[in-house]
Amino acid sequence: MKSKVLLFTLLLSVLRFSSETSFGEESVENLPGYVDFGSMEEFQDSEESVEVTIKDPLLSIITKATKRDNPELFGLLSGLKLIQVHTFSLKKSQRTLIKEKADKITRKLQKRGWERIVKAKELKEKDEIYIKTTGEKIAGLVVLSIQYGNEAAFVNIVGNINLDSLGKLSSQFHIPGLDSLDLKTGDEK
Amino acid sequence: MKRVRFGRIVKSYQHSIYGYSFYMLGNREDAEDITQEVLIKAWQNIDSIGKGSIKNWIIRVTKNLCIDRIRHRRLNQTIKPDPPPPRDPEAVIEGREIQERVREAIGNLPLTLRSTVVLREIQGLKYREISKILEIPINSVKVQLWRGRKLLRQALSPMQNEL
Amino acid sequence: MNCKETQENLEAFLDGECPRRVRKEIKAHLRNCPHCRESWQEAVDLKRLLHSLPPERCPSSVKKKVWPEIVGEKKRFWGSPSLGWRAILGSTLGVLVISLLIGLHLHHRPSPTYSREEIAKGQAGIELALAYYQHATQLSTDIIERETIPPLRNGLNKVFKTFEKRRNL
Repeated sequence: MKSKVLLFTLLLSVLRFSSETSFGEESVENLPGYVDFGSMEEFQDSEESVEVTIKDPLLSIITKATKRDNPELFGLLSGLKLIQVHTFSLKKSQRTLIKEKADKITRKLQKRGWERIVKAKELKEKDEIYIKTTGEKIAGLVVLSIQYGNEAAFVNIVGNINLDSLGKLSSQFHIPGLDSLDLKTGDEK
Repeated sequence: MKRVRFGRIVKSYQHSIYGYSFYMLGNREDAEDITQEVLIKAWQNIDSIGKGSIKNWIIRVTKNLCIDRIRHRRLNQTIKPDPPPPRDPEAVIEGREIQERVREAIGNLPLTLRSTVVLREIQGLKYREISKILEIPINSVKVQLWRGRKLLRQALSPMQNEL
Repeated sequence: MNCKETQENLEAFLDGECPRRVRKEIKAHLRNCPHCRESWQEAVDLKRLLHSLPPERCPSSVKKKVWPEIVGEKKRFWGSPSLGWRAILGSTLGVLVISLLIGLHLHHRPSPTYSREEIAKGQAGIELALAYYQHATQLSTDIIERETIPPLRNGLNKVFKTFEKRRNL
């Protein structure tokens, strides 16, 4: 009996000190605010594209770097776990494909209980913003922005998001031309 | 290490196994059973499966188990489809009804064509991957897809006219 | 490329399985051939229908059913009468020591470093994400100001004028 108790205690200690990833460990991709946009193969032919994924530890480093110069941005970033941006230039002939892609993502979001908070549609442009709430907090945000014949962007922000701060801070930024960004390869995947 | 590797396999493939089984068998209960069987087989054979071939192994085993289940059903007449939603012929076709009809159309395809169509359209595999898994030439994959899609278009065209 | 060749390669084209040269030829043919364009549209419509199906997620109950099978195997191993308890104790101690050593090594592992370029790229990515959010909300505001407020204002003005007229009569 004593040996069995000792054996059990030792087994627990082994599990406790083990550094291995276990069956079903939580990763940022399992958080409710995360969205997998799926394959972007159909747009691989795009003349310009940007694909960026920023998560820890890089995200923490960037967050700390903003603390002194932009405390409000620091506050916003501190609550975040992951930011992913996929943008690519579009040809007119890709209208159907991009619409399909966006519809597929939209259906996925709606199925998973995401709520649309912005829908703006013009002849050649369609923008939508979705949020995912857990209780009273916003755990994720998605922006789908399509300018037919020009460019498309899929953005996902994961973490504890403050929409007021996001609104205030985002007003400082404007979409540059894609060619001014040298971000061809995805980082930190 | 075995547990670690198995954990990764479950995380990476559980939804694909379930999705493929669901479209092949047409009901969730059977899909759950098959998924469970495949995962247990994966655990039992994990040491003998090469790291580079795990995906093909999993899909092949899933396909074989699904085919066995379908044959077993036919022999024993134990078909348990999920109850279809009630259809109102005058109602506007809504999203769910469209999905139900598409699933039904896929379920009515001959087995071989169904498998290829599901692997391509639902699982998103490339022709070369399908060819390796099903152990058929790439041209056969193309022909099966062409045939399967033709049958689907015929089955779904009345619905598309209503939309 | 003629219609026959286009039709033969249409599905592969839609599946992204055509070589670049063939893709270009098909695109050029589709621009000028309404018949093939119709076939292409039918194929696209079918793809759209198939892709409208929501992804099927494996229920968590399946994982819960699988786990006991794996744990059961481990239990059977540990309970095997062919293994003496001393051997079991010894191997457990060995695993514990090794795990402790690995844990200590990982605890002192230096955190990854990033170049300035990588950090700048990350910052640019964050700014881009914020810019798209700003763009979406701004477009929504612009549309409201342009399309909704003027008709609303005009409508309200008409109502007020009507009330004024009736009051004066």
